[in-house]
Amino acid sequence: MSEIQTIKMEQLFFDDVKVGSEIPPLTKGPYTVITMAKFAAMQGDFYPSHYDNKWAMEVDRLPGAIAHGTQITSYLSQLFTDWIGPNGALKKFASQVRAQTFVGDTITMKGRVTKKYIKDSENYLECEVWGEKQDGTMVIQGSGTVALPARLQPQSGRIS
Amino acid sequence: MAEKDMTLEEKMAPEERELYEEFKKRIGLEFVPQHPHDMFFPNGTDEPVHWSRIKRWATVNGDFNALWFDEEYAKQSRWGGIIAPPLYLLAMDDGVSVPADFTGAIYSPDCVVNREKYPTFRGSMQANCEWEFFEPIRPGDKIDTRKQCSDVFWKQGKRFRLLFVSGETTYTNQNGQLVARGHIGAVYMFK
Repeated sequence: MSEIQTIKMEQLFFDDVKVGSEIPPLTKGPYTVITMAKFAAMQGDFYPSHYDNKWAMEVDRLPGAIAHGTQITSYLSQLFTDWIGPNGALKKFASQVRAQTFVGDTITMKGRVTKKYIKDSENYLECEVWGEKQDGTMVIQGSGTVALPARLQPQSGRIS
Repeated sequence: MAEKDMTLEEKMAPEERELYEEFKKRIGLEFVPQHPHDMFFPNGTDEPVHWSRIKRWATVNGDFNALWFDEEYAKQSRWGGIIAPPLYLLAMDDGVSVPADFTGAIYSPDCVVNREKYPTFRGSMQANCEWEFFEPIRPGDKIDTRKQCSDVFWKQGKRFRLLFVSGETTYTNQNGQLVARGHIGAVYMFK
């Protein structure tokens, strides 16, 4: 069996991020029925339209098999964990699915920093995040708060 | 009366109204969930979190962050060891605040809608979620999950009558530490 190639994320520092800074995008796809079947096998939702194109079209009158919204939610949270490094922490995360994702779709997750502050000597960033399809359709929208280390730990209460 | 002139209430089938009443009765009642799909596909939510399952969840999502896989690397991090991705919570429990017996009434064991009982039911999905994370999940943790339904309401959508059910879920580890809190909304579609 081949070894899984894991990725050692670089550390992101509070000092190096500004309001408006962009989060490096994360692309997933193109979606196949295998992508969906694997997720169903992990998560337990085997509703046939999640991996059976014929069922999706005939019973639910969809253009094809439809991705699990919870997988796309999970992808969007990975945008944060890929970015914040081993010493960052995701503190809050919220999202809403906006459009359906089908077999063949590729989704790119994006985001930017909307707020930067220090509270109880922790360094926080608030961010808006979203995922869009190859044609620009917004499929998921959300937000998150992360805590990051600083290169020079600031004095408690001092706003950088 | 033409369908377009009917109110949402008038369009609702009797069994839809019954479902709505059932959900309403459960508002504020805490329950220990089975994973809603557990009765069809046991997800082991009452067992300790196994590292292999964390790795499998991450792999299925194409998430190869060494924090979930590499013990030596994870030891050097703020976490001091292997942790699960924050939304591993979705692998244990999809957060929908619906008691499993309820899911069992709507879906057959093949995850197909029970059309005889609910001919107008077209499917369900997670509509929105909000999470707060306090402690990471680590291999070997035993997570106690508690849920309660907090709100139920109807809305007319473009294609369907939509029944929104939202609720709170709390996750606590074996040391009594609050791991996470989730506010999750699910939507049930009828036509």
